[in-house]
Amino acid sequence: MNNNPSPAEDRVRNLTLREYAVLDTPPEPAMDDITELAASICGAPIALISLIDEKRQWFKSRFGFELEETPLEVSFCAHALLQTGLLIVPDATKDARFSENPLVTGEANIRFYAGTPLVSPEGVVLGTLCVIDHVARSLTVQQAETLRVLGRQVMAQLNLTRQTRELAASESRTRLLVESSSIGLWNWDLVSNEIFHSNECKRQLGFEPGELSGGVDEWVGRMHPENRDATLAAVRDYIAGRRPNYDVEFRLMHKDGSWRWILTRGSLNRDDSGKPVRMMGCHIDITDRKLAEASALRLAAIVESSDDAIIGRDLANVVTCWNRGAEKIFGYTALEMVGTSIMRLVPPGLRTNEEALVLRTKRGELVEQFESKRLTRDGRLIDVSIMTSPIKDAAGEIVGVSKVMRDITKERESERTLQASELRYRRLFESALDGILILNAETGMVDDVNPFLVNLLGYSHDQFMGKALWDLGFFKDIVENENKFAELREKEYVRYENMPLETAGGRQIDVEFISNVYLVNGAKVIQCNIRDVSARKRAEDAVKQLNDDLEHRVAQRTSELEVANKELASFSYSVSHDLRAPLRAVDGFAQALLDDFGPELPKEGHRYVLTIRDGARKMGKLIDDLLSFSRFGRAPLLKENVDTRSLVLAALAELESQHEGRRIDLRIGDLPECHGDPSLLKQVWLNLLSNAFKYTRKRDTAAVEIGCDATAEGNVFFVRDNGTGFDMQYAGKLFGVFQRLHRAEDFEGTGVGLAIVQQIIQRHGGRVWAHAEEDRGATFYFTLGGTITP
Amino acid sequence: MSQTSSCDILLIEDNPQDLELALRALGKSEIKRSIHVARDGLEALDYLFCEGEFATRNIKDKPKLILLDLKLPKITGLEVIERIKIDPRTASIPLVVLTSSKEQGDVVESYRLGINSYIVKPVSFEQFADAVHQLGIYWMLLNQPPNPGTI
Repeated sequence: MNNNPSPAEDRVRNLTLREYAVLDTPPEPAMDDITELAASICGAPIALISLIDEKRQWFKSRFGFELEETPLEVSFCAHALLQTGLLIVPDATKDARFSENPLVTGEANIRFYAGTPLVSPEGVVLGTLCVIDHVARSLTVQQAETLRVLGRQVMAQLNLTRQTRELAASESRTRLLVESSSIGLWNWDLVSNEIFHSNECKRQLGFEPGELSGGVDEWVGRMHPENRDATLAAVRDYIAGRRPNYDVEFRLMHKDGSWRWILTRGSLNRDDSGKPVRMMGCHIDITDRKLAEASALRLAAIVESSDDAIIGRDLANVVTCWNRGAEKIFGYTALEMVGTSIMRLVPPGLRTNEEALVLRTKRGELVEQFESKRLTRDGRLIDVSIMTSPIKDAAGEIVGVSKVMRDITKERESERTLQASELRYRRLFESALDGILILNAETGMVDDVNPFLVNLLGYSHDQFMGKALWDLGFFKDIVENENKFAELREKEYVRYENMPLETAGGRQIDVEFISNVYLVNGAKVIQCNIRDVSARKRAEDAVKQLNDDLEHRVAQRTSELEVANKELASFSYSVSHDLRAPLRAVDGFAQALLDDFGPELPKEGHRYVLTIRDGARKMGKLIDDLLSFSRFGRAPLLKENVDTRSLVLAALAELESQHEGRRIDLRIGDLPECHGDPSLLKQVWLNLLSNAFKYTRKRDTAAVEIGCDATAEGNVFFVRDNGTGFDMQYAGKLFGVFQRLHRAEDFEGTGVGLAIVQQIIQRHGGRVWAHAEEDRGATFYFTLGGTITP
Repeated sequence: MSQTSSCDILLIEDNPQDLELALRALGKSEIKRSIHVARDGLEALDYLFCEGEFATRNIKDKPKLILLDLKLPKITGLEVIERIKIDPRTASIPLVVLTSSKEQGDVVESYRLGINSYIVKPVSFEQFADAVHQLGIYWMLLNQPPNPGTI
């Protein structure tokens, strides 16, 4: 069949039909009247109001026809839809569109059809009003015109039903809107003082429709005390005509105890006499708006109090907002900046960047965070971190840019300082003449290794990196495994001297290994310094070898000296023993000669024998003195703190017999304690004092002074006499062995006493010297090298 | 040199001149005593312990005093002192060193071994004679030795 309308037209017709909501509705008398009238006027047995949907034609009214609907395939009306005017088929058997139609060939036996289209106000054809006959025939002009009029009447009837239905739907929507909106309604009868509140008024405060009575007092009672008086005054003033409208905001208590902000508006109704009888109005919950306002105030306060500069600007670079943080950072006040160009903050070299930024913002690109430089009022160039975001108007159009800027000059400076410092240390690390290994203290992995160590050990940089210390192989002496490494980490400072290592090339070297633990950005790091001490070790070995040699030579020399000493001791022993025995014989037998043969000897013989004996005795004295000189030279030096005064007094007591019967003026000054060998020092005092007594022998009164001077050299002890003195030109010979400055007839002696004094003083590390004048006395001074031990 | 089986003083001296002077000094003193002279350490020990040519001597006939030089041939004076002092039969005999040596080592070692006195022989004969004389008086007349039975 080729009689169907296009699918697009079908869709429109179906949608429109649905608006009419007429399909499958019960028959209506008004419609049936029209079909009966049409059949009667056209003289036809059948008249139908036919509506076409997707699959069928449905009959709103039918006169003389049994079926309620028929399929589209057999529809005559569907063809009527294709044209705006009447469709008249005088003889269906002779019309190619219908000749095969079952309604024509079948029991329905249709021969004649005339239909007028039913057109909606939108111009959509919904169906037809048609008349049908079982015989071929035609319509008069009058009949055709009437059929068209009746068709319009059907359409008018359909339209009326549709409008009524739509109005009802609209009303129900309005009702729904009021009921579901947040606007509460109230109605106050001023005569009975009863007040009606809609359910919404109650819902706003958390109550169910059945709750809350209609009493005025109850509603006034829920009002916030701060708002109550003002609100009631506003009502009174409005009713009394003292204010033009009633439009108030106040708080009402919610069922849960919280406060809700309510905006109320009302109008007054008066009776014919002008007396106020009723007030009607609404409640709108504006709590959210109030909170938003407070929130906005708080936000403004936050913006204002922020230390960061928060700046608004429009797309023409004009500043629209300037907070106190911006004042602090840039030095300009809001009064100076708002309304002027932001470009004065931008250093000239960066202005093109700034313009590019504006262009990008205009295109809607997000420029989130970047760092740049800005100029302050006093001309300083500061580092800033900038965050930007677009400002949009209510319509969503970008109208400006907001910027949050932070002064990061100090951070940048410290970063630059840190970078410089890092660079310096990096150079040290790279150029160090010690090997440096940086380890991660947690994992033991090598974080870094310097070129010196790479060269020293002959492994490549990559062979170190990312390996655990114990996997490197050549540090096995320090860390065999991870546990040992933990020790290295916990000890914080570890030092190994002379640790042997083998380089990649198999060379044996000695290194000094020092590890330190320290924190870098909160993480523990171990720094190992490795110094090649092979050269040092070789030098040390050489020194040790030299020391060994030296010790060996010293030992050899010592044993040689010991041998020499023994020989000397044995020599002294021989001298002591063997030289004196013959002398004793000389003296003894000379005496025996005198005893036994004295009377027979001539006088001269007696003198000779006496001379022999005198010589023997002198020889004996020389030998004794020589032996004692040798003995003092060899005696061990046993030093201790010595009470000098006691020592001197003891020496004086021993010498008392030497000057018995002589007049001696003896003066003893302060004699501080000294450090030395007491028996040897006593010999010193004995010899010096003995000399003093001896050489003053010719004075009527001998003056001997003993004392001590404190000098830079230390304590200087002295013995002074008023004796015969000596010529200072011979002072150099004074302390030589057997050196004498006086004739034996004048003063006896062998010339050993002062030699012994010098020997003992020198062995103590001190020195001895004399000052004298011939016949004017002499003074002997000496120091002792040692210091008093506590 | 007498072969007497006992004596008052055992004089051990190798130097003949010193020996003659010592005997002269002792002879001059009023203490007339029998003196046995040994010319070296070995002879002195043979005499004291009744060995060799003195085998017939009774060891109980001990000298009242031993005077000895340190410098002796064969067995030195210090060895002789040691042998005398470690033997209980001779340890109680007063023992005086009469020597030329003033060496501290000799003095200290002699006293350590238990001698009773250390005398350095003076060169002067008077002094030497005086020293010998004093020794004789002290050890022979004044000193009280323990009874033989108590040793």
